[in-house]
Amino acid sequence: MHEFSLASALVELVRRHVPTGCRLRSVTVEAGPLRGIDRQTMQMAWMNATSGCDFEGAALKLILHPWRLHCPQCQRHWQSDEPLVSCACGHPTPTPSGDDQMRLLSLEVTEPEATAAPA
Amino acid sequence: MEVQIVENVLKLNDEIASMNRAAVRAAGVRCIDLIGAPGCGKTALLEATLKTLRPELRIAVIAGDLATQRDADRMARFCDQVVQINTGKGCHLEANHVRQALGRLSLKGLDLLIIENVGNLICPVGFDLGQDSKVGMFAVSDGDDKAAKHPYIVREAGLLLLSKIDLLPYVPFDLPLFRQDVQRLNPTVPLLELSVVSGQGFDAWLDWLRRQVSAAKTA
Repeated sequence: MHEFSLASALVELVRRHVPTGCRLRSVTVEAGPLRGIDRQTMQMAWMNATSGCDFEGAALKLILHPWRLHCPQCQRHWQSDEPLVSCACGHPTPTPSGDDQMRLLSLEVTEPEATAAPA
Repeated sequence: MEVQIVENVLKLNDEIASMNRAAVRAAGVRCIDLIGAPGCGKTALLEATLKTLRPELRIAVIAGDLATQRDADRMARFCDQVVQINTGKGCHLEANHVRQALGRLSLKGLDLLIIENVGNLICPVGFDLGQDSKVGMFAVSDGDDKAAKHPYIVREAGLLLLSKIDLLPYVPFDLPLFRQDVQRLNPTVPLLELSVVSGQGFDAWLDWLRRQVSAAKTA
């Protein structure tokens, strides 16, 4: 359930970047396969972390990168959700690669609300 | 409107971890983060380690658990400086936990700081605490598929341990398969197979710790 800690950290980071007077509509985040993030759990964690605060209702757009695999026998490169798979050529141990980065890429916010001019 | 950012989600944790790392390194201390599932033998390994290496190495331990002081009490029999951190519902330690614990430790004169993370093979891996090296721990009794199912710790660890190898004759565990999974996920990580009960492989673990300490002194 590391998704809940990641969601809490994300809320704190987003708070640093939402321009004054704007309302958060969505957050776009990418994560490498090593993070082992479950999409549904992360969505639930985001809803939980934003519940009752000014980010409540903002959408989480999650880009989860798959593993990259390389077969040393046939030199094929492909992507997979699993790191330890066989190659279609029959080679049993292709080499998996992937990173653990989890980055906040962008925010979608409303236009700043105009401040009412003094009467 | 869209605001472009591109920033590490764990930036705040990582900033605190960097402060921890700087403080520990400034004191000439090596810091190890021991990560393993509940029951894999982390505390038993540390008890034996503390008992054997005292007084050759001066070691402090930060013990992370959801609840209880039990691990700290066990290790305090062999170690003057043990700090227990109870995370409540938290399934891993974060840099701020270690920051607080460092405030309760005296780094002066220490050789080694070992952080025993909360029993969990998944969540602790992604949180930098300020350690020099992560040590991932598996146990024969947990099954031979655990490296394959936990690629993050296999990839991130500076050392992997397979404990309870005295149980190999009694439990189904395909050791060549386990080694092959580790090799495929991380061809460079050393794997030490040991048993605290029989003592097999234990000296190799102690030597690895000694080399870590020597590296800190000559850095």
